[in-house]
Amino acid sequence: MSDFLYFFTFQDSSIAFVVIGIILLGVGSAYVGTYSFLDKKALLGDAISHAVLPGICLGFILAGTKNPVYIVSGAFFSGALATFLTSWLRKNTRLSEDAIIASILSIFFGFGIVLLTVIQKSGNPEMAGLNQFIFGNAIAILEEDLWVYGGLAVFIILSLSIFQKEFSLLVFNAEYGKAIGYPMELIRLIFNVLMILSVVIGIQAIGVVLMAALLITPGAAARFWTDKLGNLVILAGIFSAVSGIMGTYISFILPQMPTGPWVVVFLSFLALISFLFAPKRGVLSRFISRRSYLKKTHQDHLLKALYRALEAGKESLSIEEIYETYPFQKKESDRSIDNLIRNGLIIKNQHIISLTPKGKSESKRIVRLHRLWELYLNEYMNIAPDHVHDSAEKLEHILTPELEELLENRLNYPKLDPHQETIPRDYDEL
Amino acid sequence: MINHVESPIIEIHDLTVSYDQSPVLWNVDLSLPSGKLIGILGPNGAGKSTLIKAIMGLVSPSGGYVKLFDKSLEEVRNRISYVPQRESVDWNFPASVLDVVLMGTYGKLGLFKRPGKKEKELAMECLEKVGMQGFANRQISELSGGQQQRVFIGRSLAQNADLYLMDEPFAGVDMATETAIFGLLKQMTAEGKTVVVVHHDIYSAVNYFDWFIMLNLHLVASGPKETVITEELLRKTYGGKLNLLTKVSELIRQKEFNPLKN
Amino acid sequence: MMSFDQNAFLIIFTASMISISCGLLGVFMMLRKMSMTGDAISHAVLPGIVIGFFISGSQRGLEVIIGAGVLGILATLMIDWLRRKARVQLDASIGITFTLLFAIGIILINLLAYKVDLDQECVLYGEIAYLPIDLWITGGGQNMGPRIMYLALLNLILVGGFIFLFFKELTVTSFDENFSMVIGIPAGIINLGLMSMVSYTTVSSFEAVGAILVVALLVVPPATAFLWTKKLKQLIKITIGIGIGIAFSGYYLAYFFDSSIAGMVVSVAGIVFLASALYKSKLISNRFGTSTKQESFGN
Repeated sequence: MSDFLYFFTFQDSSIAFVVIGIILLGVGSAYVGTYSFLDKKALLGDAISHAVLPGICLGFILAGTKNPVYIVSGAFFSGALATFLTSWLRKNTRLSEDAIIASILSIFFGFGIVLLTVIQKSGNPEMAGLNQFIFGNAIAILEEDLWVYGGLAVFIILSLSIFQKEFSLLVFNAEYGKAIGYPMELIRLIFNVLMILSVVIGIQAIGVVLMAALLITPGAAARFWTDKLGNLVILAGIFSAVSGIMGTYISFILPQMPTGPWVVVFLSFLALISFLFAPKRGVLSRFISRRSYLKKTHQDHLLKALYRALEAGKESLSIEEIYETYPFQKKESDRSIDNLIRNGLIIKNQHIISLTPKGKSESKRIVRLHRLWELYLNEYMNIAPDHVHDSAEKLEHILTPELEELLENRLNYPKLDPHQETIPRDYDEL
Repeated sequence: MINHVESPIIEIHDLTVSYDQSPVLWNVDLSLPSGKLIGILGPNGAGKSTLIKAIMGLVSPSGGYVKLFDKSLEEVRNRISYVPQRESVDWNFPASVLDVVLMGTYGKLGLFKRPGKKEKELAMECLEKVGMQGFANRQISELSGGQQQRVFIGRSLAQNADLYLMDEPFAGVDMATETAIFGLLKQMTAEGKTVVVVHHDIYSAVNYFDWFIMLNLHLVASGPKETVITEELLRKTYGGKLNLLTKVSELIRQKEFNPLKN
Repeated sequence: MMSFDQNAFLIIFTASMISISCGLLGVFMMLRKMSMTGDAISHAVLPGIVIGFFISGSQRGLEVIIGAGVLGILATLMIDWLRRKARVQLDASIGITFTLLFAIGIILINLLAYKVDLDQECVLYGEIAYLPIDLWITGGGQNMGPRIMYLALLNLILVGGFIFLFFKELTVTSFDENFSMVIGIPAGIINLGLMSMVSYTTVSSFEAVGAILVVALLVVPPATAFLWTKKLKQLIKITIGIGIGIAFSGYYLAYFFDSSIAGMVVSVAGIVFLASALYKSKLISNRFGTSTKQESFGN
């Protein structure tokens, strides 16, 4: 507990620095990654992350220390080379995209491992810090380094925010952008540069192998909550920042643990919550949506049953009759009856159920939609009268008043459906 | 105008198929005669490919059923042959023309057996029928569009089926190949086989097919030329999508689930 | 001198076998455009490996393979669930799944360090140099030779058998999945089988070459071979040849530079790949495009 307070009240300025650093790194990567995700090129980020390893090692070999300028330059160079080779291979060979990305990813990484093990065996004590680039170690980020990395992160965030229009063109409709005169090639190049930079700084916290998560997961999760690009990117940034902070905290209280995996765990957790519970797109929401739709259809069917009883000359139906019409659905029927009463569409007198005027109008509407649709299928689509019922039975619950109007117009306000039953209108009386 | 037949080779009953959340085919009811060359026609997006895929069991319908030889698909797989759209495969695949045609024999071979001399002879015969016997060892990546199509048809011939379903076999193919293939298909029907073809061009279709299925998200007509190729039915097929139907499909697609499924 | 040569031989032999197993599977992964899925699976099996180690103690037996197999299937199921039920796009589903599973694996290695004798680096690039001293001693005290070599041999036999038995099913489902389903071939099961073999191979090889470099051996030799030939049988032969070649040169170069053997094997594979791409592209630019010759029937 005391650890928790110590950490989160930021009494220790170095912790505060690290947290700020993590937030910047995470947000920068999430921003870039989200665009990449929308571009459906999410795994390219994975390739670049692995590809920067040899550059980092080279930078280290040249500098002799963990000098961030050398390391960033080295990483940038190797990331750029990988990106260049990927496009070159795409243009000049008939290898498929996934084979190219997977090859570049693993070749560069393999070469990086060679350099890494050479450095390890050279016995340079500084080298212990290099391992942090593989799995991430946020706590080990030094204050001085943070200025470089943080600065780059701010640069990335600003570039993407200021040029949101250009980058969204790149991702959503590059051809159109080209047609209206935007320099799409240049924009693509700049985007790749930003991507490489964000990888270079992101791997401090999360490491080379898991960097892909920092690019892909925040955007994928945020996508479930909003359709607007501006909100999407900000939300992705928030997810990333929160996960980064939590991961750093774990690194703080369990120093033998690398940060990277914990950040990924928290990110994935946030993603799972988004996939399940986001309104409208979440799995749970869709499930609830479907359930409430089914409930409504049951209520509609009940109203129709009452209306058809009216057509047959019966003023009302008993509850038993309703149970009989829908066997094995006693509970649903009870619930529907309660709902309908609550909405003022039916009244219950002991065991007798009958329609209120409002209910009569509503039930007419549903029956009307059903019969209109049957007529439409029959007349316009040559579908036999005995095949139109199922479709109408399902669509009567969702046809809107606008569509109803269209139907009426198209069919010329017909009186009878394909089964010779009257199409009920409000001015009719039974 | 929907003509029905006695003992149809294909019977489709009240078939509704959704693709990616929105309905593409509404309540299709038809029956097809055997031994005929049958064309499926309609504008782009009318559901022609979807119909073939539904018959082949590659997409599952939200309603209705299909019967082949009065049985279910599973029971008669070895009597049916399928030619998918040419773009559905990557022709850079490392295979020779003969390799691809031999694939037509795999269904009957069973799990662990390899194609032997008998299968190779059959494959060469099929290649001869499509005029590609000289290309047997050529890599498929070196073929032109027309040649690729002929290889696909050769493969389906190697299945030795009674019913052939072909999805746009003439898309992007030169005139000579098209004429030649139609000659082959006519010969096949003369031998008693049934061939159903999704075709994209109404003008050539009129001269080639015995029976026509006209689709426009729903079945407009099914029958022989005289009853189906009329101005009114052509207008219903090609005269634009049914506005209401499109709006309803759109409405369904926007819901997070498909209300047409149970 | 003699003992040095024998060790070299054992290491190169084992590395070759691993390269060949990976290459064979990799050919089909490449043709199915699932190279990145192969990458994902080899990362995703890590928790299975760790748990298998944990359960089996120091024995490192069947539990590890089963653990990986289970995780390979779990990963495939997760990717599928994300894509179909949660409606997440495919590349994101793959990325989220493998990073999460790999992260869990690393965490487990740390948490269970008291009982599990794995270290993070080993997971990445293995240490095949220790192969000659990690011996399989039977109950009767007989020294059979390096344990990992036998694992690799078993793996090669099973992979080879799998490819041989299901060659035509693998080929047709890779070329034209719809057609294969229509003629009654269980494409889904074949796919699952292939994924399972990849999981098994990853786990069998990771002690020698590391989980991450297994990917390189899955992907790079087949991609290189594809630059040289368009015939499937040739493709497989060239892949095997490359596998042996890089094992050989990778070993000696690693000895010379004092680096990780697995890393060097991959680097050599990379150089061969890039050189081939360069060479072949110059050749291609001197030729015309795809043939447009028209043939009519009867010619």
